[in-house]
Amino acid sequence: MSEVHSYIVVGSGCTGAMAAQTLVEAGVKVLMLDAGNTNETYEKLIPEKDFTAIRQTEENQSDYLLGKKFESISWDKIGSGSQLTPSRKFMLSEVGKFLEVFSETFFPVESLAYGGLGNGWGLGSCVFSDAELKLAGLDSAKMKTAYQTVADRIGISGAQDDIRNYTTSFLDNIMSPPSIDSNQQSLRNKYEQKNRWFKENNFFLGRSALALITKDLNNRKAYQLNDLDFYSDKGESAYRPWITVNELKKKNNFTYKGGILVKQFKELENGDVEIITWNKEKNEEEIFCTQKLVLAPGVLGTARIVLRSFNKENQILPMLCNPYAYFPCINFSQLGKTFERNTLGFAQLSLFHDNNMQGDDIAMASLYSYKSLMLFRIIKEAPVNFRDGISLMNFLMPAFVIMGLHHPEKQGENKTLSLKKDASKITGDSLKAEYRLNEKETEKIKSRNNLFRKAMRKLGAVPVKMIDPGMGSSIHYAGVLPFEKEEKSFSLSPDGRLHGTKNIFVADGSGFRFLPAKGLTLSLMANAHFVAQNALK
Amino acid sequence: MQAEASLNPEIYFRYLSGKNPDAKSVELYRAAIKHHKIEFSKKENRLHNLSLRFPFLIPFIDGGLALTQPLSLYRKNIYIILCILETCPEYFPLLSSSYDKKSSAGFFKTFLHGIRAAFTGLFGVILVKLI
Repeated sequence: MSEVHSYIVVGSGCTGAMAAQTLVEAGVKVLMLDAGNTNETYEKLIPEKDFTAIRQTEENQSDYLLGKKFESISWDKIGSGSQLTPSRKFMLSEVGKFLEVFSETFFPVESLAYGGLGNGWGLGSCVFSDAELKLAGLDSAKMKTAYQTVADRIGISGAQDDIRNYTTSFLDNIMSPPSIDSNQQSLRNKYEQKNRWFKENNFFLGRSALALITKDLNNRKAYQLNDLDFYSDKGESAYRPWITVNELKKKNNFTYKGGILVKQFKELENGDVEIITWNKEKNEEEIFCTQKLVLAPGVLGTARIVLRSFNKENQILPMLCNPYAYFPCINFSQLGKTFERNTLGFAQLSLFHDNNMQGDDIAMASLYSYKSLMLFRIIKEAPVNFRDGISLMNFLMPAFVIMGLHHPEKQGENKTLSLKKDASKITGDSLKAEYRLNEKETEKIKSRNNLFRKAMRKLGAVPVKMIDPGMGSSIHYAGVLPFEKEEKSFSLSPDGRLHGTKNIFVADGSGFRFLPAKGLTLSLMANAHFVAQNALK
Repeated sequence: MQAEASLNPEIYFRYLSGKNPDAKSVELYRAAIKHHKIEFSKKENRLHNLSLRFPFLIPFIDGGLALTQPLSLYRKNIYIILCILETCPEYFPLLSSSYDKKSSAGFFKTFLHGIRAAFTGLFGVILVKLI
């Protein structure tokens, strides 16, 4: 530990990348510390063809569609992580070794990958309403500026339709959305026909806003429909945080150091921050020193680092996670229809329910067609023999609509994290989590699920099943160090500084006091930009 | 018991696709079960042996287990073959989501398959309980 760095950013996910970009563009020297796991094996194997052409012609397609170790074949009760195709599975590597969470009620997804969970981001991009920003503890005016900065950096496509207020709202420079398939278009037609019912019941349907460019942007290419959205990032039309970090690596004032797991920090008397890390390659501790530290390892990662640093084993932190369930639906108007050759794998439509039209209680459903994730995953779910399952699912597949439904979430009892000693771990501890909804919350979710079921039936798509993958599956986490105006332990100041410290900032969602149901990532990135600006002061 | 699961995968390939598998598909299957170990229970072994002797019973056993023990390893073995079929170009027409099906013919065919699936499932439940 000889050099004192100006700024150290921890983590290369969406928030780390945005914070680092803001700092680098301001001209300061930045070191990014990151676990940085990668796997480029599969990306290289996928040929320059669309999904259908691959299926029809490529002899070795099982290598990347099933995986060289057949890791895409899952025989679990719930097809959890079904979008974790072989080329995306590296996101979870080493998580069990370094980031274990003990819980019977909370099953989070974390990542030590280069680009973090952003590698598998569904690209849904929504701004929070003024009411949601206020509930989350975020400054509305400052966030609006930050949203625009981030939108310009990553590129967002969307439409000027009924949901614009819930998605891109005041944002400029929004690109037109990619084409919609006939399955989803038929839902949109039904929405137009029954518009009165939807409006009366506070439901709004429209094209999803996605961090997917439909016009070239810098070195990134406009999206081409090839139905490989869950397998490949060729052309870089879908935003991934590693795109930003790769660009930053070309700058003189940015250094990236991978293979590093940050364990804890210590603020010294002179205000410098000492960071104790574990070098995964050398298998030894390594210490770094910086004038300012920006933490962005993800909310649970931040909780671990902060609890360890203050040596508070029994400290309990609050936590927020969106309740989530998904509903396979059959769109009867599409039964037996021919599927378009290529469709968009990401959500094509979003359905919002603005409970009281005040903008503070909005639930959001994303609607997906189902094709490139392949038939075998859904044939497994059918309670029939596989041979007949093939022909049944073949017939049903063009009519499948998967509705992924997120509910907003408030703070409450029994939504907590703490650190417990665990000598078997390199870090010497594991995270313990509890997440239980109370009766009132559960009832509200049930009733809202039923409302969404009804809305889907109105759209002509009948939900056939509800799959509840359990708390944690939404992969939306926040609120472990809630924003507080007054100095208070284990909280953040509104500008993102960790209370009790001078030079330690948190750029992920740890401060959010409320978790809207809308796609969270754009707001996380906007907040990261805002926090980085404050760290520059 | 893993060896027994991997023995004669051809009958399950024939069950799903109606034709004998090529060498590449069988090779892929053998590679797959190295990673997805299948150790049949005694009952699953009996069902597997019965399938070898009377292949026409496979849809009944499969359908019966789908209703009573959907995560049975007997079914996992067939599922692995299904996954492999879906990634072999020659089986694309079999697993290609209605690309060339006319709506009315497809609907009728699917209706019949639905009836057949229900029948084989119900009969299969009894068969699986008896074995």
